[in-house]
Amino acid sequence: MAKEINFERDLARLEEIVATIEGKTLPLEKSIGLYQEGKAIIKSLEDALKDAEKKIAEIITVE
Amino acid sequence: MKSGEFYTVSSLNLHIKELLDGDVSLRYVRLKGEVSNLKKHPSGHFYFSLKDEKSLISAVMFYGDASRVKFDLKDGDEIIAYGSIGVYAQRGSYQIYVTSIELFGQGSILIELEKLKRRLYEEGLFDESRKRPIAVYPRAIGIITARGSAAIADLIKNIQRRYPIVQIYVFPSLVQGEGASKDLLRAFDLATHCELSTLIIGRGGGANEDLNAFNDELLVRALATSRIPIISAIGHEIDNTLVDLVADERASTPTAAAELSTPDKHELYELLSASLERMNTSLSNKSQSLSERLNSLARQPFFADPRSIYEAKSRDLKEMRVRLTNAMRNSYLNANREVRAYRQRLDALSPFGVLRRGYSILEDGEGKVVSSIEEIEIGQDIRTIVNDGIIKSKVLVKEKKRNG
Repeated sequence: MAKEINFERDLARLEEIVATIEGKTLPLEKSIGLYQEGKAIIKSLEDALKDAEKKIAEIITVE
Repeated sequence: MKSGEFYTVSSLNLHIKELLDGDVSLRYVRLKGEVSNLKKHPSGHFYFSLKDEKSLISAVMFYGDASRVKFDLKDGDEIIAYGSIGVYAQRGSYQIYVTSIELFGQGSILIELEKLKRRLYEEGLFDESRKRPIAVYPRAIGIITARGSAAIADLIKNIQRRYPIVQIYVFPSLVQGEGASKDLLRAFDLATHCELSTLIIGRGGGANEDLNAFNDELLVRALATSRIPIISAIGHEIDNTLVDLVADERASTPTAAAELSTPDKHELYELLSASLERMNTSLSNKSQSLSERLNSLARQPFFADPRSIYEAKSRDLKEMRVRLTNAMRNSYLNANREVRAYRQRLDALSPFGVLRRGYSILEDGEGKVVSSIEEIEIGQDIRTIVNDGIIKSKVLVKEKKRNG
């Protein structure tokens, strides 16, 4: 995979973004910035899963 | 024994029998030895000898006890025999009357295993507090198991179905028989040198119930020091081996091991689309509420009609003017009413006021008021002044009031 995917970290960031946007206090301009970041994370994680589905993960046998 | 006295054979054997029977320590004997000269009599009794390198003893096991032996006893078996020592007087021989037996190897291993388990348990190797959480989103999963087994194929298939982005490392190892525990240790050592999120140790199926390798003390101690959380997938019976006990999680099937070690792709897709949904909803709510605020501000009347800014004031002014006019008029009317009231009271006091109430004034021809019949004569002209005019008339009669 070209991009470095870290599901744990990326999902945590996504959850943080969603919660922040859902908060009432954030100005709209900042929400939009976060929204774009969140969408990018979703796309990269979905792509990672789909790519892997096509290409099934490598199996390495260590003797 | 006095000179000239003797035992008979029977009495000597009886004497020996009584000696042996009297010794409590020979009543319950646990004896280890190798089986030889085994004869399984048609009656169901077992006749055999137990021996070691130097010595031999006859043994008999009667039908009732022999029928309870679970394994196929044969020459060469190392066994532990439980029973009592007795004399067979007819033959002048002593032997062990065996009531139960167990294979020495197996019994000993089970006992040793139980001891080892207790020792490691007391050391705290199996404590819940030592268990590490299994990674939810593993980057790489290591699998130690038998090469090419159906179980490993199943495990890999399930892992890939659930979470295809994970890297899988396979560390083939012997899992049973001679050298299996050493080989498992070697595989584990290799695994610790890889960047693994989770390590699965499996037996790889097989009908053979030889789990000895998974009870090896060195292996168990090595696994206990592992940085990588470990899932054991050894057999259907969980907690059967020490490796099960020391592992952080136990799985009864390859599918269960896959589920323990990976998140499900479909749930992830759902999580991602739910996140998107939440962001969309939240953002559209936010922009809607902002645009509502904007609209409600924009709808303020003074934006639509700037006159409204001074209209209110001009309305106030008009109203003030009306109130002023009214006040002026009221005060004029009040004053007027008072004047009229005074005039009425004045009118009431004037003689002309009396005329309005129906009284009249009588004058003689020269305009002098007549107040007595003495002041006029019969035939004289008189004038009666009423409210709205004068009546002229002639006096016809005069009558004096009798008591007037």
